[in-house]
Amino acid sequence: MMKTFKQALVVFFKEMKCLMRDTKTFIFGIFLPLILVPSMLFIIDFSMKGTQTKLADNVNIAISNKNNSFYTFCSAQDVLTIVDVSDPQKALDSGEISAYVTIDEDIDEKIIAKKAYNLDIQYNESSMNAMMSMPVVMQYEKAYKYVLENYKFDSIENLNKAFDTKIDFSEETQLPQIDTSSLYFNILVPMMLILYCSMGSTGTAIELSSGEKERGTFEPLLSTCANRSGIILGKLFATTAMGVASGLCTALGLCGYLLVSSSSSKLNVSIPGMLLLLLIIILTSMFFSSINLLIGMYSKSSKEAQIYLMPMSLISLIPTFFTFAMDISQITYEHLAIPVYNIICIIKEILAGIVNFAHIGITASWLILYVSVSLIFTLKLFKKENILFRF
Amino acid sequence: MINILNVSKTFKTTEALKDVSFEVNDSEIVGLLGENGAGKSTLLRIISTMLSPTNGNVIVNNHSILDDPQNVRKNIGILFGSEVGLYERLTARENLEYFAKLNGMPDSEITERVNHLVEKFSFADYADKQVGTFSKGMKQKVAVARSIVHNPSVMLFDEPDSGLDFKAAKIIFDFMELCREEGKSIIFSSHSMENIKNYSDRMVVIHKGTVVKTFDVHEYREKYTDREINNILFSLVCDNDENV
Repeated sequence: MMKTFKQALVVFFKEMKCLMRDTKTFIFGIFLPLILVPSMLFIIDFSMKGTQTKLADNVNIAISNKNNSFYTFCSAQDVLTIVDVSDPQKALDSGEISAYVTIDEDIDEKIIAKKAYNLDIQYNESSMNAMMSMPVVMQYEKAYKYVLENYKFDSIENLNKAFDTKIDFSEETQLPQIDTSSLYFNILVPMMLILYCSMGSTGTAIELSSGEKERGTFEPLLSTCANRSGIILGKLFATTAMGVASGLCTALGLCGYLLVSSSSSKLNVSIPGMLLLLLIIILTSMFFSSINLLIGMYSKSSKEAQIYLMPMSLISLIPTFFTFAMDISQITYEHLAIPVYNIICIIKEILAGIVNFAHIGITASWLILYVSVSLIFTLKLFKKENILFRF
Repeated sequence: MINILNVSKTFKTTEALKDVSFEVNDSEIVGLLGENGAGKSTLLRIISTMLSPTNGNVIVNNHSILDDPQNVRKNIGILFGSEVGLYERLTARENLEYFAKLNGMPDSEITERVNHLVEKFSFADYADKQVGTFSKGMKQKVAVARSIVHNPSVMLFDEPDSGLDFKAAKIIFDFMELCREEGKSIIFSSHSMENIKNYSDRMVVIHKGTVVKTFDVHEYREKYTDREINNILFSLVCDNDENV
């Protein structure tokens, strides 16, 4: 056992030396994950801020009928521009207007007579701009209705006079406040962590398995006195190290972004939370590394390994889609038994500042089980000559 | 000393080796001659414990490949011709140290042994440079040194002349002579009649997985001309329909 571990360390240190001397590994395994997540988040922030600034200046709307108190009210607002349109649906679809207000032709008469009136606002739900301008228009609609509910008007003239007033909402209340942290912490960050823990080890696994077959170093390696379990363990440690490095660089990139970003909530992760996140990243990388190594070992060439492993990275993301709408309070023990899904549950909890030792313990145990099964399977394959030499 | 005892190997439905038996003495080079796919590499892989035989056994210095593969590997050095099997991002010295460690050499002996090999094969000038920057000949020298880093008593050469220019091939054949002088048992596989005739003491002709002839090269050289030996060998490895 000790001898196997010693041999595994010899293989591990040699593999790490080779990997560290490879520029490609450094760029794709370390540098890219470090800058990819923050770059992505900055681009999202930048585009959202651009839209917000545009909305602060002007929102184009159309109203079905002129000569009424709502039209007068909207005309008085600097932020709202009333546009005449012949085909409201076409104008909404093309983005010419953000909202179309349908009101009764005799709305003012109905208000004076205290009868029910109709005021509907229609948006183009497929337009991001329209959806973001919705709160602006709704604020004015609310203000209009508030005045109607709290004041009495005896004539249409007085009614229109009362609404010919500009209301200044402060920019803060007027603009929709988009807190991107929910999007980041619930979707992007767990997804990127999973992706990089998986992809970070893919290249290394190929290099250390089918790559060795291709370069002709595999047979001299097998002809040494080192036992095969030691060789495989060493390779698994090296593959995991690269997966962990990629996962950690992704996490570091995120932390860097949160330190300088102003548009999202700050990360609220405690020191134990960070350490447990590290543990989960290590186990996750080990889990993916063992699978990647297994596939790499089975493949005849790097090309064949890539064909199998590229879809594998995407397949590993499928469980993440089921967690998008999941609330962390809904996590059950059954969820914690589903591969990948359980990892995301834990990452979400930790990023929300919750350290649930029971959940982490269960997930870690499952991960150790998956890694062990995969490792036993890889070792069995590694001892099968028809797999090693593929005849 | 290598004893190959009735070795057979079947891959799915293909019989790669059929009841192969011969022995290799100390200080002897046995040339394994056969066309591509004759079963030469399969036999060398079985001797080096990379493959297990379907039937039969191989005894290397009293260690059976079936019962004691670890000790068999300790006694064997293997060299491949077309692929040098070196790690290109490691230096020549690091390659040797890595294989020495994997072969279980004590750390205290590794540096001395590696320095000795660097001197012996005259590559001190580039011993600390990454192998990826080497020419084919330089790589070949390092590969040779790597194959004997653990000082094996048995050497296997799998088509060492394949794809090499005369300069690189000379390094291999000189090394083979050196191994014989040191008392090692050597098996050298090739599909080149000339190289087998020139460098082996005994020749084993293998055809479609079967040993069709074993003879003493020196005796044959005394009895026959080069052309006659070639004709004998040709008749052994050609099927009847190919002879027509």
